[in-house]
Amino acid sequence: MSHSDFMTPRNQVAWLSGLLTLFLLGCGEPEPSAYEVPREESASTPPPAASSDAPFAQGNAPQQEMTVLPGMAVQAAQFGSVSGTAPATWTEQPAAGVRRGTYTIANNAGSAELTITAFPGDVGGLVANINRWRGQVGLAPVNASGLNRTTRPVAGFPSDIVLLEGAEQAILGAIVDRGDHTWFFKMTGDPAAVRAEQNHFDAYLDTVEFSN
Amino acid sequence: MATATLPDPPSAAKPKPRRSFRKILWDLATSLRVTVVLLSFAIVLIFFGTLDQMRFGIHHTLELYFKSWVVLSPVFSLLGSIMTQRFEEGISWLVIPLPGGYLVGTLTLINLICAHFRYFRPGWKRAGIGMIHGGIVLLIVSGFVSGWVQREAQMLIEEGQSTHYLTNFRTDELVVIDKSDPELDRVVAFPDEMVRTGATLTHPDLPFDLRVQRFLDNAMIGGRAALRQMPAGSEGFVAFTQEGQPLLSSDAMPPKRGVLALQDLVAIEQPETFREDRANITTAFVTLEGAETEGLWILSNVFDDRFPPQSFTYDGRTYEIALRFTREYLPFSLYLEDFRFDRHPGTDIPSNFSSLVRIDDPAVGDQREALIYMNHPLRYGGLTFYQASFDQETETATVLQVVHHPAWILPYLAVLLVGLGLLWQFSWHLIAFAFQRRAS
Repeated sequence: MSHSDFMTPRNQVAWLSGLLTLFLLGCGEPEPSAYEVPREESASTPPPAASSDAPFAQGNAPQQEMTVLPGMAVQAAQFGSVSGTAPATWTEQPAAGVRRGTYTIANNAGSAELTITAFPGDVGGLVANINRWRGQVGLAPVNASGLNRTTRPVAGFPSDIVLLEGAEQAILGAIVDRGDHTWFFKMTGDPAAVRAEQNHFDAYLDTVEFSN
Repeated sequence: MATATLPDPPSAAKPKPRRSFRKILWDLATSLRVTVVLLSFAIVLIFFGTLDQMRFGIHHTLELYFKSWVVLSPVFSLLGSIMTQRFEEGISWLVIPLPGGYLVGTLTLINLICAHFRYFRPGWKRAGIGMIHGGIVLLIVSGFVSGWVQREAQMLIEEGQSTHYLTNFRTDELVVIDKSDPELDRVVAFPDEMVRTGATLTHPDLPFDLRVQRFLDNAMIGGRAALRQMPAGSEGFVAFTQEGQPLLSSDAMPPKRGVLALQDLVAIEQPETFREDRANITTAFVTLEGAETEGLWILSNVFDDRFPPQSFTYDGRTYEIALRFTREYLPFSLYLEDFRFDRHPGTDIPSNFSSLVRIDDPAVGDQREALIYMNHPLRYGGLTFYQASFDQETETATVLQVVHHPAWILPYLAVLLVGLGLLWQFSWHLIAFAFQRRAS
């Protein structure tokens, strides 16, 4: 084959196509890599102190204390913030860690605390969430048909409201389903104090707004 | 006398000259109709790709539609979404295969080159056409090259500290770090594509093998107490679907080690997220095979620096294992001297971010300061560092977007070539026309 035959347009095209194919097939399989870097000191700080807010708990911990994993605070921060008009009897505390808001409440019947948290997904589902709260006030778990809940929208999102009264503690809670994450408004305190705050709680939920 | 004329019997028909297969292929490769069809496919691809960003965000859509050969697109759901403003899940199983960006690009490239060689006649009069074709070929090629060589990652630096690696928050790697040397860490990193397959991971530098028992693209991790209401028998399991179905039994595995044992953790599978502002909590359950190291470990990219490292000893050496966002170590480091930003008056909205960094490059003994702010990136070591974000909690750490794109010049050259070609072609015709009029 002479040089001119070799470089006919058609052959040039064949060569170009061949090279292109090789180029396209050039992406290889993933392979492990090995390298050396100056020694990095691994952090050895233990996870943050136990908090009773997290939906996920440490199994062997005493009572209902739960451990918040470090990533959870970061996750919670991704869900934006919440705002609402609190009644005058509630005192706002600074938000910290996984808590997106905290109020301390004192009325004639006693004291309570409202915590606001957000977690990814549905955190195990409604039954698991309510049963966890039931466990915290000393009530036995129930199945889906035994959930004594009311539903209402909060800032336009479907929400479940429960009042769980134990012997020493009660929880008035709202679980707001925002699709890929869930907000928890949980008032814990003396049963009489929590019962007395029901109207305030409802009025507060009317004013809640989420910002992303 | 009239006689009826009968049509020729078929066998007597004049045989059409049969085109050879090579001729058919050549006609197809050089056909301008094929060009139009390919351009139409490109329009369709861009149309549905743009609509599908609703579900997948820009990054995943780019991979799915444009950095692929074929894409199965739920076109009816997407068309419905134009009317209803939401993705119709009900008919999303009804997919139509569309040629992906790579296929359309490759075929267009072949078509353009073939047609050029078939129809182009050299000469000054048509030199502009050649330049325009060359420019378009270069543009398509630069698209492919960018797809392969462009890398993007981020660098997070705390004020008063330095960082010498980039982090890619879209991919993960399973790392085994030999911490025995007081000066050096020896790292073996397996990219997540390898971990995902569930294969046994081996490397000549490692005296033991790792076996991935379960890999979850996104998960929620927490203590077992959250599973109090799980059906009886779930105690023996460590991974579950979102519906609570067990995925991985720990009873059949070696004893739990590390944080899995310490905190009795479980993982619940979550749907993968494609949102730009979210990261998936990638999680793997791994067993180490070998007498001393036997055990089941949970690894997850949510266990960040604040979490106690998971380590073990083997043959007198100390190792750490982790699943983390993919890192790329640099031969130099950036030290953050100062991070500043203002707030828009009367609001909490930050503006005017700037990072004052010091480059420490031991290889060249370079040590100089640079101020990185909007539209003023730092270019160093083949990388471009843009001011991207900051740690919203502490407000004292900066996040730089780092881009490596050695072929950035190609699209500019391509556009220049097309522009020059058009200029040549129009000028040639204009001058010829002017001379023609004068002559007449």
